[in-house]
Amino acid sequence: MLNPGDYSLCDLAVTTALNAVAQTPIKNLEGILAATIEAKLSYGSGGTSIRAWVQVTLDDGATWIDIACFAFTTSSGVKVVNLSGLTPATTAITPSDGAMADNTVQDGVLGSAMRVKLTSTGTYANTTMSVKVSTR
Amino acid sequence: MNRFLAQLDRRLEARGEDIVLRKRTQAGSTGSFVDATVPAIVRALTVEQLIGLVNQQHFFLIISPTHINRAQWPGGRTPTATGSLIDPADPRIPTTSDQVILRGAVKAIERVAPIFDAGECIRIELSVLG
Repeated sequence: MLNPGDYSLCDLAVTTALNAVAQTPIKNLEGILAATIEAKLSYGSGGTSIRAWVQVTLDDGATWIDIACFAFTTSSGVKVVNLSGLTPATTAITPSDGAMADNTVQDGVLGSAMRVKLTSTGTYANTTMSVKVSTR
Repeated sequence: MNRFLAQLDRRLEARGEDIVLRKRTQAGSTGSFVDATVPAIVRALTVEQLIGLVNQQHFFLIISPTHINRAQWPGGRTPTATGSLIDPADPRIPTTSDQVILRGAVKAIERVAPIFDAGECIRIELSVLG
């Protein structure tokens, strides 16, 4: 691929509720074959739930497709998934944008740009959410 | 590419010293950070520059926006509500809230001066202390 490496998809202090807030994308990932994604919630207090959808685009950002959903509640945690761009998807999938079920993934669909969309409920305090990706 | 930026990039590739730019996200006692390793020209201050409250713990750094863009530092951020060609809150330009790891030590950024030529950022000057 063009730019293998480690990138930050999201690094955010979470306070008031977020409603499908998309972060700026990481671009120029043409030729990506695999992505290992780590989501980490450092919990302070308050809040109810927070979801981070990792998304890719296949049309220069016109539409975004969920490839992983990380869900957290009120405790710190780290979740990791690995996705391959070479996994055949021979049955057509119906893409979703910020609607993938909690803690699920869609393997085999990687694009040249990647971003995170966040939704949270309740008001968190002293809480940070970070999502990193290692691409190759 | 701007020729001044190209000159700086060539010099940094040949003679630069690696530093780490670190943007911290802090919320009370919890926090995380995003790092990027970029080459820099590192200068200790000369006698003429050691005036007022400036002391020998200060270092003067020159870095290139090319390496920051290449690393896509600091990664995904919540976009600003208003956009402009030169956004005063452009996250790619370090701020005094960020840190530099220079020669194994964490240093605070005291001053940031992005230099523009023909509307293009051609270098970023940093004064760091620590």
